[in-house]
Amino acid sequence: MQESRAVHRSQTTGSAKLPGHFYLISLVALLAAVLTWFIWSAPVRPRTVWLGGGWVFGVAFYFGALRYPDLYWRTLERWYHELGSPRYFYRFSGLWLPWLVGIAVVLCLTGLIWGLAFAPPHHEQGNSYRIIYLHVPASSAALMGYMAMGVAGLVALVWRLKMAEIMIKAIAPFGAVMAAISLISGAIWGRPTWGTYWIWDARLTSMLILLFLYLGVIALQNAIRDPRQAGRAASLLSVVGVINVVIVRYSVDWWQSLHQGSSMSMFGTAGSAIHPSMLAPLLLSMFGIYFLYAVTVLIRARTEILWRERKSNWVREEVS
Amino acid sequence: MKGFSATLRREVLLAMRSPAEVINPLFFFVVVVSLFPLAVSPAPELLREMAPGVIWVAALLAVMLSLDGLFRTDEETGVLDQLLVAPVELYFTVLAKILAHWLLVGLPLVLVAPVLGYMLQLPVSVLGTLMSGLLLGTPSLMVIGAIGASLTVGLRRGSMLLALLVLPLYIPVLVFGAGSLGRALEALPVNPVLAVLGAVLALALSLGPFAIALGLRISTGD
Repeated sequence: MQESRAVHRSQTTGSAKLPGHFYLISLVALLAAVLTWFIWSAPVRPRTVWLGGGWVFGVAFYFGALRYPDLYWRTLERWYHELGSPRYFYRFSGLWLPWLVGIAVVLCLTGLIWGLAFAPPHHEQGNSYRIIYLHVPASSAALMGYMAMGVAGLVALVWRLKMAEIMIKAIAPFGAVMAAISLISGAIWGRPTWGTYWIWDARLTSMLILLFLYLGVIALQNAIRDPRQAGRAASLLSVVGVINVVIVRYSVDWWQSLHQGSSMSMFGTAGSAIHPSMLAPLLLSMFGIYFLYAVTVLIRARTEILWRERKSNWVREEVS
Repeated sequence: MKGFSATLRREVLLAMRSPAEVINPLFFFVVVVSLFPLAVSPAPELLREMAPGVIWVAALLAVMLSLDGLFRTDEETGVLDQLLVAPVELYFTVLAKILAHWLLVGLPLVLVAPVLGYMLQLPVSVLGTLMSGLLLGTPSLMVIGAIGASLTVGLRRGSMLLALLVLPLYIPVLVFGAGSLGRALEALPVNPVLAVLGAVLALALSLGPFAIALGLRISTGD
């Protein structure tokens, strides 16, 4: 372990040469990008713009990495060490937190007030559609949170980073609350629109299962006394869960198509695109919820850091 | 591979010495299935419609409840620590334990399922689908459940937690398993669904033991 790291260092700093797997990964990534380009090059404007932007960014990053490998590698190493250290993380997040809180409050307030009060009513659903300004951000945050937990779990298992375990513990409760909000707001919207609070629709069922998976991670974490062991167990469970959630999604879609036809879609079948006057506040509230997500996770992670490191000197200085 | 056959032999021998642990899940399976006609209705059409779900849920619960003890005795007697430090690949040891457990618990469920299916008024023509579905599905249930069992092995009151962790992960197997039987009842082709069950099994058998081995190492504080 030590030896291989030393070899790496001499390779990167001495002769400014990249490790071999970097070229391999870049090649695979380039191939994937070309493939995506061909598959997705349908004449859909926003998608093409996003993909083009990603393409330009990727190419710039790739040639930048070829030109200044040392800088890239060292930056990566620095992030890894600094963000992986609870003490640095505590300091950095303390600096970011006020800004994140400000952005979250502004985005949430603007998006929600605009959406709830000023956006035009829907031509079929009237005002009841306005719940999407809460429902869609919550659903997307719940899904993203689970993916983030899986990535953090992988990092925690492979590199045994303490911070990744702390992140899982911080993400899980917020994700569970977001899944619950998504389900409840969906039920409230479903009553006037579909005529029932609950229906075994594929999306509803998937979200319910996602909530169960979140609760499982939380329960496992609470059951194990030792925090490191609890963190590693939760990491393994979230990695297994992320692999499983994909299969669950497919199985639920298949199951639903077996039992009943897809009878409803969000905005009717014709013209499913959302009008810009409705889309703008939706995007604002989505980003607002994402920032709120970041704020909550950071605060929870900071509390957890203080608790776990309560016997160290820097926490004593910080608290007193 | 030395660890594989030795573990397999040891597990089977241990189960033969205390057959109650092997028979109990089977007994559970039979009792739970026979409760449903008593609770709902003995009407044949209704039973036939419910049968796929009832049999699959009962089999799933029987497998899950049997898994609680999969690593517990080994942990209490210290055998688990010996396995972790033994100079054999933990992957194969775990695989052998699961195979033994499936032979002792899963296979009897598969064999007794057609009888229960017949009692729930399933036509004889679909009993083959029921058996092949369970044959492909129960090993996956074993592997997925064993991941949960490996994470809860050292915990008191672990069985409730095991259910919470594992039941959401069982959903794909349940959906495709009961779905294959439902399709067979409607005389639709079932092979695609059974193929998906087989794919899930391949994934579980190839990757699952890694997760179980890691879970055991985490639970023992290694």
